[in-house]
Amino acid sequence: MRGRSGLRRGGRALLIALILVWSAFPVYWALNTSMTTLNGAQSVPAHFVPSPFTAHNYGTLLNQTGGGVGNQFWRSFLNATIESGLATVLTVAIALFAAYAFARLEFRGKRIILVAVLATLLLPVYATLIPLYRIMSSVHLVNTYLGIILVYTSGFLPLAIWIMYNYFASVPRELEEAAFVDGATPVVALWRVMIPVSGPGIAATSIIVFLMGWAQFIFPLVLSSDLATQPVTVMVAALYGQRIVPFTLLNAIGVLAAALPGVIALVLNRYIVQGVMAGSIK
Amino acid sequence: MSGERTQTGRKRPRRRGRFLPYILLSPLVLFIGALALYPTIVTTVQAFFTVDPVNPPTRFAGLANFRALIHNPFVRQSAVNTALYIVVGVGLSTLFGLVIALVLQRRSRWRGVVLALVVLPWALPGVVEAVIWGWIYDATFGVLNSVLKSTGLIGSYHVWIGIGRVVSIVLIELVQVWQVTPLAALLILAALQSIPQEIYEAARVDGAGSWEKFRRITLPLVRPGLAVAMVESLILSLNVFDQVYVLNGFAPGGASIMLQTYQISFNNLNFGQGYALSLLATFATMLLSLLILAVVYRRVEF
Amino acid sequence: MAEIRYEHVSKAFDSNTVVNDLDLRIDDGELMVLVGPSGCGKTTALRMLAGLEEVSSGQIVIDEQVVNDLEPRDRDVAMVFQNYALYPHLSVYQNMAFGLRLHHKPRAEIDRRVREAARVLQLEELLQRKPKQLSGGQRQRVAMGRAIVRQPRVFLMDEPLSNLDAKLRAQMRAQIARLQRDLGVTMLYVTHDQVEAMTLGHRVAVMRLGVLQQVAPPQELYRRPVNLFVASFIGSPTMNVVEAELHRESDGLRARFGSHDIRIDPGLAASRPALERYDGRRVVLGVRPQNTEDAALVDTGDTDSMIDATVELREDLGPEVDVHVGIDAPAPALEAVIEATESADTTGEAGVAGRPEGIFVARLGAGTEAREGRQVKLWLDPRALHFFDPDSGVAIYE
Ligand SMILES: Nc1ncnc2c1ncn2[C@@H]1O[C@H](COP(=O)(O)OP(=O)(O)OP(=O)(O)O)[C@@H](O)[C@H]1O
Ligand SMILES: [Mg+2]
Repeated sequence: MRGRSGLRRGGRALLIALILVWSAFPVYWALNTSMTTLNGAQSVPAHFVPSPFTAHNYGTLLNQTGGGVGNQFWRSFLNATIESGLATVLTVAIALFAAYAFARLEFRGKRIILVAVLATLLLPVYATLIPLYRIMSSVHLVNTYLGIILVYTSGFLPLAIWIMYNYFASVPRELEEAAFVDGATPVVALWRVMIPVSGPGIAATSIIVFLMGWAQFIFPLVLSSDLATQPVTVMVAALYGQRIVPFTLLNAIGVLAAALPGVIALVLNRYIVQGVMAGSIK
Repeated sequence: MSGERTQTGRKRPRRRGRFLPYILLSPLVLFIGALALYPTIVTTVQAFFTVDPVNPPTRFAGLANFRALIHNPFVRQSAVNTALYIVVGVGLSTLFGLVIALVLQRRSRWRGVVLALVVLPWALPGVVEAVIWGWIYDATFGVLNSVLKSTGLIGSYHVWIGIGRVVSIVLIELVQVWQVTPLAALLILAALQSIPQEIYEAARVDGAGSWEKFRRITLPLVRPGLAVAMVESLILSLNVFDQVYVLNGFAPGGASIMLQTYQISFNNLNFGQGYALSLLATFATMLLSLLILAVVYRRVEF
Repeated sequence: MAEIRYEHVSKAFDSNTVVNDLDLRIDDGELMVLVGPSGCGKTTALRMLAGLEEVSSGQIVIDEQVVNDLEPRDRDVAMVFQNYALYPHLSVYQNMAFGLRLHHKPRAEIDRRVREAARVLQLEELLQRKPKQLSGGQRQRVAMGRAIVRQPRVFLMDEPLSNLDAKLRAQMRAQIARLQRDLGVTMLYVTHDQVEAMTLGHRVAVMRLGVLQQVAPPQELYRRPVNLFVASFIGSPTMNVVEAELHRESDGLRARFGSHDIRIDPGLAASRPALERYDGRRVVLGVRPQNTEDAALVDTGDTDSMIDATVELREDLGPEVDVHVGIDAPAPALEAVIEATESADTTGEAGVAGRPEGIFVARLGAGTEAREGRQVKLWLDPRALHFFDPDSGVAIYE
């Protein structure tokens, strides 16, 4: 009996170890490569710790002035931050009001609008990619922050609304009614009660939307491909395709591009998990 | 006690805040209408037109775009490729997701840490992941080769991507599986956690062992979660683009439909055919989603 | 201060009328309790007054002002919810200050009022806590405090004590009564617990299936219920009811049920002239358990008011003893009785779960020697009998 349960526990530990290796090894490997020299990275068989160790690749990215890879990288990093940051703000703001209306107010056409919005969750990229490009180019919003932010927002809204709608629906009605009796208008109740109470839901939505924005590739590839607005994904893909940047430096770039979403995911994963789960059942 | 008495309030229409909902919804409706529904309609309609920005005007073309696509060998190949992407993607991410969810279901000291690391690949951009994996797959210095050779599984270093079609596709899709698995795991975990603990206890009292409990309780009751996870990974692998673009470029051996659509539309500027291919892919997405739901989804109420 | 009137107020959800033609007036400074079984429309009636629910027809008047079309915030009422509905993100202090802030009261006044309410409710130590860190009783007091600080015209309470244990409930009941008296504020208090209703209310309004049955001070409700429903709903244990036949003998009116035949006190009969009309006809006879006694413990030779019965169950309550005895007469099969008995039994303190047909409950002095399985001679107080029409259930008085 004891032997069997020990075996089972051992099997479980092995499984967990496998899962951890599967999840973390590629990232570790990029770190490993980014912190060694080109020669170190090209050793056969491969070294599993950086040897020789060097911070040179990161130094290159940090120090470069004028026109180099470092400059390009930081520009695209900034672009990605601005684009997904502003898209997050816009998406969450719009979704807050809309989700509140769906969860709490009665009005004609509610079901139809809700279903139409959520149906767009099922639309693949195919359905909108080309027309969005043509719309944006006809209003001269290609290669502008505004253009990409508008497209992101329209793409992220349905999911954001779905997550927040579920959060709002789980808040007891009496809380708002207490606020109404205390003298609040619906807008005040939303602002002073609903929104503070739904803090975790709003955090989850914001984080998820931001990460989705940061990861976008095909839309910015089409809509903002020049240096002024291209996000880090487009820039990294281009560098990779040119095959002129050494692998060690490319991995350093990869690590830095992954750092912001990676840290968010590690530190705030509680919210991500909550958000995904809130949107999942039903 | 007369402090508040002065306020008498205004007369209002009986229905409270009649316009408020519409005011709250107007930005949403504007965005979704203009940038999601309208484009979808455009795609649907213009698939039947010749749309070429270099060579206007736009003319009605009937089914010509579709005919051209069907006779295009690259398109046919990309369809086959995409089917393979889907099989690998849906199969592996569901399997891995289920295993991870089952492991995470048990409360333990390590759960928080494991969960955090498990979620990580989902949070990173696919392009960056593809670059990282590209280096792992590298033909001359990749760690995959290194590990396989030193364990004796291969005799000499291989070129993994770009030679064998199936191997290329499996390995490219594996990168996407790596990204999608966390989502599948969380969706399945949510379903697992909604199963009341008492059901397991009742089964144990009835004499069910671990395997029976898994087969007779977990598997049937987790079906809604599985279905949602499978649909999610279906949509993602049908749309696979980033990983293919980075790792395989436009080489037809691994090109997906999305890549083909991009090429037709933005490299060849043949928007009409782009629309037509998009429309077909959209339909395929819907049909396959419904198929998965019909086969896998069972409504469970506790 | 405020006087409230419901004038022919009805409320329907879709086609389902849950409040039907409610006509009720609550005087300035009065504590009115609205009581009735679960689902009878009490909460709905209260919420219409608060403005959280629109009325379907009729009007609600506060201080001669029709408030039908006013938003809750414009009605100057405060409400305590059953689950308290404390704002979880705000401290106790902020919870209480919330309404005052919304009304743009000066900071100093807010502070003064909140601290005063905290003192009265013994919340001073807890002002910085979040609701999550409070016990049930403390949360309840915060909910009260949130209402008090507003100094509203009207206090509304929806089963504010139902989430507390029995002892705390009794304490809070006393505190609410004291507060209401000290503040002199008009209060509408909803409960389904008739003990709470009787101990708290200046007047009590009894509702059933959306229809107001009777509004009266507790004693009158107990002594002169207008119908079988009110009679059965108010009082614990529930009033015993049985089908009987009236007949006139030389010594006056008598009631025959099963093998028993008891005399009706002439004084009682005189005060209920309508009884004459039921001579020779069926009525429903009601006797409260409190109006019975072990014949051995009453020094009266009044054998005309005694019945013999077999004890089926004896429950010692300490100062008193409840005995259940078999009576060989049919209980009236009126819907009203069944509903009242069911809901009373789930909440009544000495409730008897599902009283079967043909059972009488008698509350006897502690000295009774009644034993299970034995015969007991019961005295039914001839001055405290109740009579109802067997078809309509309406009480027979004038
Ligand atoms: N929003 C609503 N929509 C439809 N029906 C409702 C609604 N609110 C209440 N009802 C119905 O109205 C009836 C009265 O409900 P109400 O809440 O007023 O009862 P209550 O007397 O407060 O009962 P309880 O003692 O259980 O709280 C019930 O049958 C209920 O199902
Ligand atoms: Mg109620």
